[in-house]
Amino acid sequence: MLPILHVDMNAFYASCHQAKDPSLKGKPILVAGDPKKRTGIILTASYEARRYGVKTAMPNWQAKQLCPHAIFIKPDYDLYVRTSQKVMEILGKFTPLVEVFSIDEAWLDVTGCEGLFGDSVTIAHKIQEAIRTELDLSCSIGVSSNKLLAKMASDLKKPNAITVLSADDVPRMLWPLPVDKLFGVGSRMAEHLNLMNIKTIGDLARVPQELLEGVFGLNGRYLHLWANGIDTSTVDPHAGEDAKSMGHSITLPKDIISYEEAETVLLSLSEQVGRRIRRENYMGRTVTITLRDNTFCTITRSATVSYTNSTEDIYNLAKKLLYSNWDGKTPLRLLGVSISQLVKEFEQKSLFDNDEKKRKLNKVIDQIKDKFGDGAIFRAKLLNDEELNRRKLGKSDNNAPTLRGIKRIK
Amino acid sequence: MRFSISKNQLITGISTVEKFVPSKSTVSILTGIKFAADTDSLRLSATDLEMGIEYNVKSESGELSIQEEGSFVISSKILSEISRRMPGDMVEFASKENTVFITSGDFNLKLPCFDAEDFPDISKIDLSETIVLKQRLFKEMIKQTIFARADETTSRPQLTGILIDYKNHVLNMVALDGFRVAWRYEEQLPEEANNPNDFRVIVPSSTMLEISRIFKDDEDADFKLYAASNRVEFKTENVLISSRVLEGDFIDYAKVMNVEPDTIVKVDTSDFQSAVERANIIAREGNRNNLVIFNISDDFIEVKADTELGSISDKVFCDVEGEKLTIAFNASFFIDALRTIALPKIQLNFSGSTGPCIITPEGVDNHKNFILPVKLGDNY
Repeated sequence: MLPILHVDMNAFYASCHQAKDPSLKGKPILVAGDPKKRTGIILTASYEARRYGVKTAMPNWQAKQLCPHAIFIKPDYDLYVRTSQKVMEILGKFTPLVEVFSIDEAWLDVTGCEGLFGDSVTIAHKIQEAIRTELDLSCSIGVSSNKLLAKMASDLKKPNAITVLSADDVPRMLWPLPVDKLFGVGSRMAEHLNLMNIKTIGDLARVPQELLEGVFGLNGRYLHLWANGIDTSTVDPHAGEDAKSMGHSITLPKDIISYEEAETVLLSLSEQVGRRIRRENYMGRTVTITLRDNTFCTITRSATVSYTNSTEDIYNLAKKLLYSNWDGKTPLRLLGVSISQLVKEFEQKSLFDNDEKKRKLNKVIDQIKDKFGDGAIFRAKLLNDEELNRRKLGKSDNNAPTLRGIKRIK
Repeated sequence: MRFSISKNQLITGISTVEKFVPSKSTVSILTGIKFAADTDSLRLSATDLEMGIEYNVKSESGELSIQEEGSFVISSKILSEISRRMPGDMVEFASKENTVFITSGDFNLKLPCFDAEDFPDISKIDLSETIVLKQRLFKEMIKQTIFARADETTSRPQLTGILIDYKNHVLNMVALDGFRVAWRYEEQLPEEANNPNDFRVIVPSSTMLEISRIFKDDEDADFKLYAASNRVEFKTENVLISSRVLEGDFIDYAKVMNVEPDTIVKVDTSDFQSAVERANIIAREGNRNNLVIFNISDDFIEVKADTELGSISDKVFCDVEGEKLTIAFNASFFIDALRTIALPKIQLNFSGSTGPCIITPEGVDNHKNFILPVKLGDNY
């Protein structure tokens, strides 16, 4: 029995545009971030563009060199979300056990659906057909006995393919692949494994579990199991429904090399994170910062306090983490702040007026921003950075009036 | 220096003081235990500079005999592990220059030692004697307050400690984290009180926990408390514990407790505690931070918890005076407080859905717990 399906939409963002505007069909399409900013990288390339060697995450200029006649399109996230919902609706017609993994991927457990739709391979064909006729999109589907193998299978052949991978096929089909093809192995992990002379998934499968646990902790155990095609997790239709963390990060317009600048960015990020968890009525207790330097070396560090959703608390903790994990000199390229261990918001009464004041202050700032736009009110500290100032003041979430031309106070 | 000591007495001494030895220190001498012998007693000391301890053994106990006075400091870690494994009943220590020779039967151990001159003094003699108290009572007071202290993440570090506030012959002990207050006091009869001045110190909770561990449960074991503005000492028959104190303001606990009740509930302690503990099984697992709801009616409290993992409801019958009330709390605050109450009945004073609940054991007014509620949203 191979009851688990993994559906992976092919070149999803690009395909959405092609489906919406048929004149784009058969042409090299590049969905890319703003070419003027450093964030200008390729988000998705259509298969036509991939033939020229364009890859996801490549800088725009490089993609243009490889494929000069490509059509650049700005991302339209509303379109992707709407289309994704339609895809998931189609999947839901085959089984209620659909676990949405990302905007363009989902697992299905079709156990017991044979009577209605046929065996799992037949169901895979029916799904592909339905997505093609109803949405004009193509997908790859992996069919297997567990979620891990189904996902690995859908990856083996693209686009528009159905791949069956049973547990017996693992040594033949998965083991020869480079280790970074294994689910859960990122580039840094792969680097680490390569240093241990583990080059293929097969190499990894043969390393004793204890040894991997010694090096990677709990992750080591999963590496061992996954390399051997073992995964006991079930398809959970409610996975991801409860937010586990909320965060924001920013690739900086220019590298940061002082605490003062970094603090300003952290405050701005903390405010965004705080506002978001307050809007969704959560409180959290673990604050995590992400620091990426100009060599792309990335670290995350966290600290835990009592439950909060105030911008001040998040910022103070983020600042503390910054000071204990950054020398103030190494050029920073990206900064991120997130909060986790979320619970539904509660208002614990306190003996201290400050706690009450902080809550009220944040609430009223949120209300002003909701009504008059993000730039209508902000912490004076943010006035200090002109670059950030421009970004903050020039843009508003809801097209409300924003302040412009505020000069730095001398 | 040369002395011999019974293995039992040695182990007792080391295990009493070793908790005060810092596991890591930039000052290497602090990772040792100081041994100092005079004509008729041996003193073991340890300190991490925040708090320190001296443990005394007298030669009249028959478990110690001193041949030559002197002092040295040796590694706590090695000594602690080895003393428990020594073969003989008596252990002999002899020091010569920078080395200590330890002998027990056929067992011989040679350890390098530090110069005891460099070891910090544990006691500062300039403190004047303040009060005499029963060790058992003091331990009980610690247990009934310490749980309410703030944790390390607080922005008010003084709240991680316990306040000892002595005024008008009353010893008050208070801990609070801003959401709750635990207060216990004990009056000192004039003849017991050695006419001490009023004083107020905030003692780090690590010191208080060590005191609870070391103090005896004997009915009549006393200790003396010495207090100054920056340090405090506790002296029993054979142990002296000293500690720095925390600086900062403490909320006026008597004032915040002074609330006029709108609803008074008298309930069986263990019935109520069990109901809250049961409700917390659901409350703590969900994403609502231990939230339990009390619905107070004419003659019962309904204890409820409702999360995405399930809901629970329980009724506890009780005497109710005053207004009906629906109010929510962090269940763990109640459980912590109720666990320190031994008396069979408690009184709960409420004052509205955003006011505190003050818990007192019935018929007792020297033990109060003050707990602030969680404001309920509109969907209740």
